[in-house]
Amino acid sequence: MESNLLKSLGRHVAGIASIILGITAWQALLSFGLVNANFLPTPLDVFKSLVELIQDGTFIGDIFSSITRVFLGFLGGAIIGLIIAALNAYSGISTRITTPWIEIIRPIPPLAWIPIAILFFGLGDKPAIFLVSLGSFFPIYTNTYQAIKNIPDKYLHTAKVLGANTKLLLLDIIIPSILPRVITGLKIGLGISWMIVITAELVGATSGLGYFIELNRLLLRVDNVIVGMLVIGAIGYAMNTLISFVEKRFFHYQVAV
Amino acid sequence: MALKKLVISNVSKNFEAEGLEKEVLDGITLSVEEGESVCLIGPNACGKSTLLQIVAGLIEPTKGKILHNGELVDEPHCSRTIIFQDLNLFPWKTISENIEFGLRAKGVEEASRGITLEKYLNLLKIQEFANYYPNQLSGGTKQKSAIARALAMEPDILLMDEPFSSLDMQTREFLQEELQKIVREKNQTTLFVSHSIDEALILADRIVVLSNSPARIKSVVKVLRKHKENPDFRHSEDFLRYRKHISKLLKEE
Repeated sequence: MESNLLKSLGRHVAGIASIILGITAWQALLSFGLVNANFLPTPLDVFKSLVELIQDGTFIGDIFSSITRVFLGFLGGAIIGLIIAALNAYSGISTRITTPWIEIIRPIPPLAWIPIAILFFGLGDKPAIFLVSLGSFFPIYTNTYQAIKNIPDKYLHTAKVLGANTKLLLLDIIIPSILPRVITGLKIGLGISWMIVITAELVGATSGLGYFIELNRLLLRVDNVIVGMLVIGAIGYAMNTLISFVEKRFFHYQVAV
Repeated sequence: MALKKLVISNVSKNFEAEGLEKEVLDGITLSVEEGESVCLIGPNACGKSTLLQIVAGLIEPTKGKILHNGELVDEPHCSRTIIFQDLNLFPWKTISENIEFGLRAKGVEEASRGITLEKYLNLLKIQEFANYYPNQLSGGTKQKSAIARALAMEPDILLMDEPFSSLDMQTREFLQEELQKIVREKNQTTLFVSHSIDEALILADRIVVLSNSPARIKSVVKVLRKHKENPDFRHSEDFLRYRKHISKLLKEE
């Protein structure tokens, strides 16, 4: 037990040391007066602000707002992406109808939709949810479509030779053989969602982490801005770790062509 | 006259590649008796695998037809199970789940599925690997698993496409002997493709030598039971004689 703990600690030594070094350098810049202390708070100030903000409660509310918007927007993008991918993978007419739209909208950065989104939906949850759906749609759609198109014939043939009917083919062959790639699409989609929600909240919301850092910029509370940024990073990291864990645990196999 | 188990009647196949028609099989006619084991042997890429897949019902012939127990073959059916060259074990299923898949497809009830599963895990001596995934296993074990999956279907005709090509010599010889025993005991009708003369001699009652593109039947060599019953057939004079004969036929190509 103990040796395992030590080993896992050992693996992270370099990472931990590098973070400590970074914080020390940050402190050193201030101690030696190399950076104006009005623009950059000390690491300790930032830590104190974090504690205060957590006790205060509205900050937790902001975190919760952002996560809810990501969740709803991502859910919407995923459902639409999966459905259209499945339709297009199996129907030529559906592909011909949707492809021009998909390809024209794809290069437009979701942020360029902000003005329209605010005009249509007003300030609040809706524009952010809309933008997140839009941004997460593309990686989920593309990966799922490619996954279905590239299901190896050999598995379909084998299943048919073994007498599989359509239901068994779908549940036991098609879905497991596309899942690894679909999960990859969802992972990329979630990463994009988190970035979009923060950006959308900078201008189009009255709550959320993006709104929080923008508000504190206006209040010249750089310490709070940094707390907000660190929390954004930490949550994004946590979401990615969670999906990677699920991926490794359940989709360890390679679907080779 | 007794009904032939399998009749391949005047089968030809053309493939189109880059606008060119390529003739792969030309007028193959062949029949397989119940309990017989027939090997198709020929130069690389001569169309042996194509013929096997036509028999399985996965590819449609350009001309001619396949009759299985007198019925026309036009789609895959679990009574003609094929072991593919690269095995095609489902990587997301354990060995047990792979073997059970065909039984589930057949609608076999759970209780008797378990019995069949045990039987074939034992037969191929892979019980200890039942809960492993294919990518955790050696080539030989994967090979045995694919054979178990096919045999568990208790197919009327077992089709095999170079089943042992990816194995080292020792494993290959061992599995050839094992499979030969199983096939003999079950009186299993078998049609398989090989490019190894030794493998053909060990496993087959008849060896069909194919010519190069387009494949035609060049010669059929019957391996007599009285020779095969020699427990040391692999190292006998007869074996060498067969070997020389087939080798000569193949070299002419």
